[in-house]
Amino acid sequence: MSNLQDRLDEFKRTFESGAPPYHAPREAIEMMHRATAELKASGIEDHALKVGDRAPSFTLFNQDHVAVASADLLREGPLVVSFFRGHW
Amino acid sequence: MVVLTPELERYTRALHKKLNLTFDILTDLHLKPAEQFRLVFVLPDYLRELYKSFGSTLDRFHDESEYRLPMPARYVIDQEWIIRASDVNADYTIRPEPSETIRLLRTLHRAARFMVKQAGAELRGSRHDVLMAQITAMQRGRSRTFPISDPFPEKWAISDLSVTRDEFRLLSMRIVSDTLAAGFLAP
Repeated sequence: MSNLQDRLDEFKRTFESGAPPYHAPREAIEMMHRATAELKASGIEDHALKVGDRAPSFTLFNQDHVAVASADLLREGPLVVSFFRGHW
Repeated sequence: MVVLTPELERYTRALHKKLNLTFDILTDLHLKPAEQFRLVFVLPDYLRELYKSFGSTLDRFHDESEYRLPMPARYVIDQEWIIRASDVNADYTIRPEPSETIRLLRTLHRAARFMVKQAGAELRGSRHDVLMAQITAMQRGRSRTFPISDPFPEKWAISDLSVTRDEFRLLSMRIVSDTLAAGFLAP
């Protein structure tokens, strides 16, 4: 299996080519590029928590509406926490 | 392993089922932990309108009328709550490789096993000998100094045997995981 970034790049190429099934208009792609460039330039990445920082605790509902606490997960071992914007 | 998204539970439920995941997707409603990890940004107006035209309206999916989003990020947190790896990118089309994360997890697991082994040895020998042997071994393996910021170092660096067993276990874990993680993370 190819690595994740290769597959993402492949998707991005298809999407940005304006080809079906997405038919992404050129102006839309340019807007997305502009927004990413602006966000990057804002320096926001430097403010995010980083290696050596203490992780905040959280308790949130999972997909079955069961409350899940990071404290409980950490009792079992190291924890991977991944943030993503959504399925859309 | 957990995944956090601001999406409402009705969408995470569908996604979880569709992808047949073995880990939870947690709904970070209104981006509370995302704010604590300092990942939140506001979509510019022009992008907001564009997403709306695609049907990706955040008020619907996230109950988020302010159109805020988290930057994609992946963290590895050890059992002392310290972040051992962080990958954050303002460009959401770039994501860290899962294989790198798995490699670090294996390292942390090995460190945890080592800690338990050392705690066992500590019961048989003098605390000081075990600690010093461990520190020497660590120093031989890595030239780095230990990035430990807690009140214990003066205690264990000299022949002071007043550390309790729990303190010792905590300390060994920190020494080992800090050293290995530092070695792992440095290119």
